[in-house]
Amino acid sequence: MEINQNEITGELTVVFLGHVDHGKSTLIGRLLYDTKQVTSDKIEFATARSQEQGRLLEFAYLLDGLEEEQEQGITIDFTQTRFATAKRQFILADAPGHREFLKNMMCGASRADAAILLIDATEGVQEQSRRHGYLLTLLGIKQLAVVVNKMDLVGWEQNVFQKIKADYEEFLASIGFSAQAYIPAAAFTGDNVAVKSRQLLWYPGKTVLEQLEAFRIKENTGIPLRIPVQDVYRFGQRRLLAGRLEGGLIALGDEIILWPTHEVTTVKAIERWPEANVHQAIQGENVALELSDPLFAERGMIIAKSEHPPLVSRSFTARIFWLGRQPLVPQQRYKLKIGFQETGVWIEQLTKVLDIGKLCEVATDTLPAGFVSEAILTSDQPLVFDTFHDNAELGRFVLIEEYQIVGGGIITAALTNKQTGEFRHDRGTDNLFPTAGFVTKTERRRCNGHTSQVFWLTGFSGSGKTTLARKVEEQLFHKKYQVYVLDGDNVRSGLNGDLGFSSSDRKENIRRIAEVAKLFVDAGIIVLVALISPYAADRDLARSRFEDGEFTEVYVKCPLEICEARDSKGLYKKARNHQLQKFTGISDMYEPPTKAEIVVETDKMPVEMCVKLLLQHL
Amino acid sequence: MTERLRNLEAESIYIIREAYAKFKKPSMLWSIGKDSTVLLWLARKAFLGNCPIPLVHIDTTFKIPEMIVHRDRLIQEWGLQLVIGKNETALATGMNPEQGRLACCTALKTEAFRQTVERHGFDAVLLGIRRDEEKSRSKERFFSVRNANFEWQYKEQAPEIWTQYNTDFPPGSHVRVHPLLSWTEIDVWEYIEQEKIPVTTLYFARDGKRYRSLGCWPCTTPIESQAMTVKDIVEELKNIGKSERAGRAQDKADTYAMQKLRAQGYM
Repeated sequence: MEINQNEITGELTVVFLGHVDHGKSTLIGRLLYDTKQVTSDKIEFATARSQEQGRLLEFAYLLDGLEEEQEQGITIDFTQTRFATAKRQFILADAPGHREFLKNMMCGASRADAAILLIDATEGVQEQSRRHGYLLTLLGIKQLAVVVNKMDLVGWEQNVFQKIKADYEEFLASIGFSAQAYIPAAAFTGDNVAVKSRQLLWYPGKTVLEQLEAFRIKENTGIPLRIPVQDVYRFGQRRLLAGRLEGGLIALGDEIILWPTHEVTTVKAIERWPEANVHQAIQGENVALELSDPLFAERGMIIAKSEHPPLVSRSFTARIFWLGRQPLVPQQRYKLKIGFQETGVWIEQLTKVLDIGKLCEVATDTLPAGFVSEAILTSDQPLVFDTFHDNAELGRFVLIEEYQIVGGGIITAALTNKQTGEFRHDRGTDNLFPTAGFVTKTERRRCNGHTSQVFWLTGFSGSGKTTLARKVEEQLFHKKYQVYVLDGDNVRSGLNGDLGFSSSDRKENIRRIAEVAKLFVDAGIIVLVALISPYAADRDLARSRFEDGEFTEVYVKCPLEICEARDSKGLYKKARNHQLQKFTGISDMYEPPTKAEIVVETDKMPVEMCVKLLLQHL
Repeated sequence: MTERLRNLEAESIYIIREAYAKFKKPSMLWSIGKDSTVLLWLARKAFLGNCPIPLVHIDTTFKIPEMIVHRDRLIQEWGLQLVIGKNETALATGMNPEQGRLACCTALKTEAFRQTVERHGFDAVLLGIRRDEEKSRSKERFFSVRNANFEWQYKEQAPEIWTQYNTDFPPGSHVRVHPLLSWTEIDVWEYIEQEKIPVTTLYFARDGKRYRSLGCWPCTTPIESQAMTVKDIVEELKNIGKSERAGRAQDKADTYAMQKLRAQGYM
């Protein structure tokens, strides 16, 4: 992709923030209207809706909205619209001002280059004026202009404006932030929006429109190469690492380091279909890289160059914000995502909790929504990152609870020598895991040239679990994979020889086999467990012992009648004759999996096809 | 390519790859219109000329015949996997727009879509919707969950912060993924021109009329136009002064009709 410098016009995203009813939507609507950037059917719609409510044209109705929003005259969720001046193109994002919709505000603001914060001249600085201003610093937005709106309602008085300006300047200074401009305006009448006001002649500065043009596009230059690996694709014999350049540039033949394994290799090919012969790629581009060596690679790893290595640690300090319905509780486990890395994390300590609506420190054990804190975090797995200051993209993270993003933060520093002593980052050397004899799972996998995981085959007796497991084992073994089958019957004759078939013994049987399988996975081996494992809860328990992606539940599905007809071990006959108690399918229940990653129907599919389905999942 | 298009393309490819990495069985809705065809093109870019995600076409049987011809041609040429979804029960009982546009859309689109998603066990569906199309779409997320009843709880949406999306979802729900959310109608056409993406000829003027938005023939009206090429279309749109879906009847049945349809699972 050639870059033609003449084509770069630049597009800037500006978010409009501030307290409820301070006029964010109206200001955007007015900008669109005065610069004639609304389609005629939208004006007709807004005019009709305003008239129905006995009002003059409500400029906010020119923005897209939900029925609830336009009925109640509020903004619930953010929306954005395109806007252009002679100089530049913009995306204007309208964010809600209600505290309860703060998560939507953050969603709309997080991708902005600059912000316009509105303050109502009749109300002055309010709780959300401060909260929104503060949160900009955590989102990494450095450009801010403040609009003191509704000047028409205070008789265009200069001293009202000066007072608000002084108040907000003081607030921003206290958090180490400042605004580029303070603009007195009236969105409803259009004064100082797109055209200079005739009422505010004492104000010599820019209109809102001129301020938009004065904002600069975020400069992301000078960031060292970072390619978080988003996925690994296979094309025949080729293996390609897909990812977007979050900094720097990469060229054919470049020496790169794969983190956290710290393996060194070079770039053999850069793929960017449909282009052929791609020699280099720059920041922001999505590529797929072929490496010169067949190193172990997976989603979450980071590609960097030797000059500027990232940080690696399980512990770091951060400034975090919280949006969850329930407050954040220290020592409770959440999921953290940084780049494509996902791991369990807990907050060791909230070191300084701030109510940013009032801007005061509060003594509290938990972090409520809308508050921020300085904190120390510890993760289950070592993470590869930068500080937010060095590289925003790899220096920020989100926190997830029950399937939803509920918070986030920016990393201020890596902590080394975590108390447990099990991991230390020794920057600049190869001694990433310095304890003698301490071999990690990742290293074992790399050595084996494949990942390690468990296939958990569940199904009736006679459904074909063992046959399938043995076939997969055979094929993988011949391909030089480290692989082993844990068969229910075999394990029961040894390790679990003390267990029977009661529900509690079945549970213990599964628990032990899951633990053994986990050891195999830690040892870098692919393990196939062939076990009736009839209860969903027990299988879930087994699953919970593994990390994401390590546990593949395989439902070996076959109707009971067919299993019984096969009866290769003569067990069904015995169960029917009451010679066997608690036999799954006859005198004990089987709960079919509802979330199995793979379902093989052994009465319908040839065994080769079943084998293939499992192999595809490697 | 302009910087804007380059940024949009990069964002879309990133999201498509993210969906493919995070979901077990994603699919992609292909209406044969310009937007979902651009989405398909972007998927081929994401996967280096391949599209490992199966396409789903919801056939209401009221689609303009040329769309079906175009569909089958690209399936052949690009080697795509296609799943056709139809609400056979509703069609058998003679559902058509005369029985009410919303009822017809619900039965032949939403319900057919729901049946297809359930039958194939898709846990994610990529769609080519854009924020600038209409009001309720402007409030969408890139990754947007639909609950087990196929409903969109638009007042309870989780935030997407920076480029982190919500990719974990409760069992029973499915996820709509919207890689084109930030694109506008003009962006789509400029990109089609730039990349030379094949689109159906229904978009080009014949006898002074062309389709600006494609749907079912009884409910879609062509606009007055002289635009014969993609370039003409871009020029026309810059001066048109009317919204894209002005020719789509279901939007007009009620002021917030699309919001209501979409809350119940419409695309």
